[in-house]
Amino acid sequence: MTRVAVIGAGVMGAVQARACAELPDVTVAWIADQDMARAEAVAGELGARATTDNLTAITGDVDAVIVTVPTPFHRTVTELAAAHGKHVFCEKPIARTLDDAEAMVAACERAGVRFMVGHVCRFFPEFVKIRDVLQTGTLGQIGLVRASRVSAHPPAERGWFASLAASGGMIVDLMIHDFDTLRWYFGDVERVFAHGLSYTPYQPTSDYALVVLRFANGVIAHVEGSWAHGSWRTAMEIVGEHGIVRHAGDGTAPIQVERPGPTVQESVVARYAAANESPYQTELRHFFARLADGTPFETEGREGVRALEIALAALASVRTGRPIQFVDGRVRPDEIREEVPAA
Amino acid sequence: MKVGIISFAHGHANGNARCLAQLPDVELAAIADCDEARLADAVDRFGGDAYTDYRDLLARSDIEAVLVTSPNAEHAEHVIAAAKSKKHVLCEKPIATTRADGMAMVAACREHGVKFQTAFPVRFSAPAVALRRMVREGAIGTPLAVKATNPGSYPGGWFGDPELAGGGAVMDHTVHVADLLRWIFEAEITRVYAEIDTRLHSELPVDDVATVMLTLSNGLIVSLDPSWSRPKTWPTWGGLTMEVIGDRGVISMDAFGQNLHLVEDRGPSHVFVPWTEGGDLPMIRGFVDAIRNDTDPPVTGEDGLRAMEVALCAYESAKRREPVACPDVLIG
Repeated sequence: MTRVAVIGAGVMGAVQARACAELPDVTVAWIADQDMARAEAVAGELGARATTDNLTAITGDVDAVIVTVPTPFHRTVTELAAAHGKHVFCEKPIARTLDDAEAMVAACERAGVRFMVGHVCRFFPEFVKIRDVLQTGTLGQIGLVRASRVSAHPPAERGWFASLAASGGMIVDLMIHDFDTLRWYFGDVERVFAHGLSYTPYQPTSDYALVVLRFANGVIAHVEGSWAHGSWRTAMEIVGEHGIVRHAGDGTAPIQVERPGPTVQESVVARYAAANESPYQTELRHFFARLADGTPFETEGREGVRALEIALAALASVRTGRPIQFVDGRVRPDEIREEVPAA
Repeated sequence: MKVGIISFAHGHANGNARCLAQLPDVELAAIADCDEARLADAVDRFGGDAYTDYRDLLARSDIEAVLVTSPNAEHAEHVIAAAKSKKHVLCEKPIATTRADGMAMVAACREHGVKFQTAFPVRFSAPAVALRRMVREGAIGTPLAVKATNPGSYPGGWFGDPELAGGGAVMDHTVHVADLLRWIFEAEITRVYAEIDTRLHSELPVDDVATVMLTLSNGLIVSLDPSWSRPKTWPTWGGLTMEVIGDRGVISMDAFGQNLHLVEDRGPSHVFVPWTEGGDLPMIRGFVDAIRNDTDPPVTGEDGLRAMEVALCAYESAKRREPVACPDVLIG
């Protein structure tokens, strides 16, 4: 039986804690949150203990720590867990800055603990299936990719999302999903160019960006990310010499619920995905299985660093209006340095 | 009104000929094409007198206007000759393959006092007209960004010849959206960045995949996909979409979205059959009306020139791997 502490009981903390609790060989022992009521709510539901002190939870007879605090605190919590010999699963993005991200990888290596970053799209069945199709090679050489991930902006009570310095805005928090997925499919990035609203008054309520990734293998990928839309959906289309593979997000929900309102305008249609296992649960099952058998994670800490590099390059391109050139798949830190330091 | 068509090299000549036949008091009087087989076929289907030399068509004093649908690089010769013969001109897009040609065409038409319209039919399609109206009425507040696509399948033939086409997918499919942006937002495209390559038809000497990033004079940011990325077995030729992001909402427009799905075991398995009029007929009606009423054509030669400059800037940006000022980078 693996015992875990979940640090941070916000939206993702609750999701990950519940997903852990569903796994047969995992016990959620501790929930920590600065807000005791929030910690107790999740802890009570799962039969765990609640605390406002991260150290109490981390040192409270657990094998692994699930880090679901706001992004700018990922480093502190990860380093604390590593220092106490606990394996770490950290929510994406790995960190807000490259320095923090590298430090987290180094801390876990030094401490000899395992470190996985939660790039959950690699566990979404539609993105896994796209990769399966690509690996058969039937599409021939790949030429063009169009990926899209749009939603409404995060609710105001999750205030830290609104701060570009704290969260990195929509590009770092949301688009990093597709940056990671596309790296997984196509390898190293060579160049990044982006248009976006990150540095306008429309961030965060209408944060929006259009990003072009040029991969070292020649693939051109267009990625759209949005906090300006009215509903959540993702889409991806990949074009090769011999055809197209395409996931059209809004057309695939197998469950649709319609609730008539007093007027047509007030009626609501909601669409739901359906799966036998949530991708978050698949992701954590992977984490614990790889912990047990000692093989590398699909999304090692270093993969999280690489995805963050692309996101920070996109942000830098929005800021400077210039393409950001990568060298051997890595961004040069001086190319993405921010004038106003990240929180 | 007697109208001639110069060249059936571009497939749009067929649609144009069908539109002419639907307009009252308009007659397709003559067709010129240097390809004798293509000429015979066109005259057989649409009527009119046949000329293998376009100059013989232009010599006819009874013909008032010509539609030019020759390969891109030949537009300049045909349009300038038509202007000198005092024929009004509707020219297929892109209007030319170089800025010098485009400017010479505009100048010749002005000098000889003939109408010069660029064939941008999407401006006349009902979804584009509705999008423009809604944006201008403030339906989504202040427009901030646009995601546009105009993909197609590789048309084949001279479209793959850089000498005749002046480029590949970027030359073919940048101009429609460039024109719509200028028309909807009443702003110029001032900055262009592009990633361009040949990856889907590796035998081609021209590009087939690209992503073009634009900045407008009003600050609007735009991405455009002009790729020849639709497989031969795709249910339709391609399409054109625009999604406009505003500070109070998002409008999505699909200019070719109103289709029946036709599935036939004995034909191509699945095709889209559009059930709307489209923009071709109102575009050609607009050209004819401008001649009859002696007004400016609804889309001018300058509009065609501006849109072509954007495509040329995209190629320049891809070559330099940096954003370029439009059209400044093309001048000296």
